Amino acid sequence: MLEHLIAGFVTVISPTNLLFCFFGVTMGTIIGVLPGVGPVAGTAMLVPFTFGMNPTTAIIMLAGIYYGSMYGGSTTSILVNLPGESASVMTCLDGYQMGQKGRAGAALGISAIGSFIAGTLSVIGLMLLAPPLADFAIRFGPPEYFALMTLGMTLVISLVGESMVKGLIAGAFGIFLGTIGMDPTTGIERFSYGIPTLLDGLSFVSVSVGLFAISEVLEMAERSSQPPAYIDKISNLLPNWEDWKRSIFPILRGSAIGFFACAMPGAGATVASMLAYATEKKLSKHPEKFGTGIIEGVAAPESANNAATGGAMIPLLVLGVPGSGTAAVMMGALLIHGMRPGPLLFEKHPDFFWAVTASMYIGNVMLLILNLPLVGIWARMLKIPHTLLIPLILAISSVGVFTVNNNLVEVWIMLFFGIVGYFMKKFRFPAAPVVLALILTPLMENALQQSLQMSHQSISIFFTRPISLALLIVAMVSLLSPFARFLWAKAKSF
Amino acid sequence: MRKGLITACVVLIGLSLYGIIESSRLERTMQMGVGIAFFPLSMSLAIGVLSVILLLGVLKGKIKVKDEPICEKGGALRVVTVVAILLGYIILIEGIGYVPSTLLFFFATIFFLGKGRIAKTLLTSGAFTFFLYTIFRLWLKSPLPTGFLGI
Repeated sequence: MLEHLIAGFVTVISPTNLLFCFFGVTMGTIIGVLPGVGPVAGTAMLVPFTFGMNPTTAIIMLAGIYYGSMYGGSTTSILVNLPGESASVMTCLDGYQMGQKGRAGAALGISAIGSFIAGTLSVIGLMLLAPPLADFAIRFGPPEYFALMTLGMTLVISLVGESMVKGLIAGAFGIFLGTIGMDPTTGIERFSYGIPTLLDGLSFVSVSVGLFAISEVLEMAERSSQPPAYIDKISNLLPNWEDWKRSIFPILRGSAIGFFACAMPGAGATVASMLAYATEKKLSKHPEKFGTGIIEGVAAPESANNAATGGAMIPLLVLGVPGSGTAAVMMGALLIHGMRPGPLLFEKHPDFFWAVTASMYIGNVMLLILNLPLVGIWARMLKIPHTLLIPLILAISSVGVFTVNNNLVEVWIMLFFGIVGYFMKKFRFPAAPVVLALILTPLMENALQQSLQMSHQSISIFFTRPISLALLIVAMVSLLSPFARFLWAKAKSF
Repeated sequence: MRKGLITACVVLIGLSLYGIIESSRLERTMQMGVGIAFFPLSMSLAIGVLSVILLLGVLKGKIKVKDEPICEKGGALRVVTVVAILLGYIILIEGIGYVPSTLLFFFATIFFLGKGRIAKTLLTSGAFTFFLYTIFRLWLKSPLPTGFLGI
């Protein structure tokens, strides 16, 4: 393992990879700082930038955006009570209160240091857990893959958003969109109506940029006001001894919760940070002080959302099943670059995995340097007027989507899904299941067809193989648990 | 918001019907596997059934919907205008090329949203157009639409 990791570091320290790792974490921090532009939108928007790169450099950059945004998200939560992205919501509760008490520096400091520790620990976890899991998953055949992808989708649907019905509609809509184009087995056209662009299916870049970036910009355009900028000077970034004593265990617990929560598809960084905050409150001798500006309330969720990024790499890289919207965008980017995530990735391209892992160590160090001394610069980014940000994001998205295939139809598709995404946001339909399903449907359909060929058209193949059966049972439980809880609550009320 | 969600459900039911009709035209039984209509047909049915459940939940008041307007006052006009400007940009970019269309797009959007001075807006638009040109054309070497003007 050590020699693989050293080889990974050797790959990363090439000037190009270091430059794009730095670019990724810097862009991630900016995306995290700017309210309204989340990591999914930011990653989707910057996918077209990676087309001239080799796959390793591309994923190093995209992963940098992902974990960089988690660092940046805390800045606005602490300074102006506005989460830069959803995973930083919990940080607002105590972080902003600390800022109000004149301790913004300490909150930002512990947030950056906690994020660094959690990020590093999660990379170690990824390094230790991924290879044995890949060895196990290599035995998976088409039925297991079909069951695994079904499980991935049901977990995302059941955990993302507030309503299971809306999540299911979004997932079904995504699967339907995923069937547009040529059928992978027969080559017969479906819903493409002779439009050449649609023959290869809907471009995931157009759909994800539309659903995430354009819709967010439209929401930004709708608001007449802009969040206030932080004007006070930020000082005393290094936590004192008392802060350290109170934060170290929340950081370690938050790291473990974030990593393991996201190692399963479905629970994203937001869920992880909520779990970590709730755990600390439960373990605390003074739970009533949570929400009044105590450092544990910043350390735990910030550590959890950063550890979550390492955990999220496990289902994505090892199993080929993205567990969140950002991971789905990264999987789409990998597929465009000709890399199929999954256990075979380890066998065929171990250099790729280890280079990405090594880049996360380096990226975390870069982020610590970027986020501690330069926090004032990030805080000032809030002064960028939306009147400039909106056209800039729209133009980058449009030109970026155009350059993927030099095709204007894809920009039209982006605009269409931008409007769809805007209304989905308004009516609280989650967008992540749509993109996840769009990417997974062709693979699922293929796995289903292959499984049925193996079993001479009998669906019993899914229930006679233990792994496939177990995965399908968990998928079923994840789908039915909210209904079961509802029935249980009703039964108890009688 | 309630009316909006009801409209969304109706649109989804319409989408489901479209999916069912179109999927039914696809060959359903193939020699191998489940056939190319399986996924689109089953998903169209699922969208339809779930949308009806959602619609009934909203109508019967079992699903609580906040009694607030879909967007803030004046917000709809801003969104529609931004979409219209973007639409114009996509139409123009192929005809007149990247540079003039992007310059126009930036100018129109910044001027509309910011209501700033013309000279300042023009200068910012030029800088942004050049910035994107540098990234996409000069750095990433991506071909950009040139239009009849050749730029």
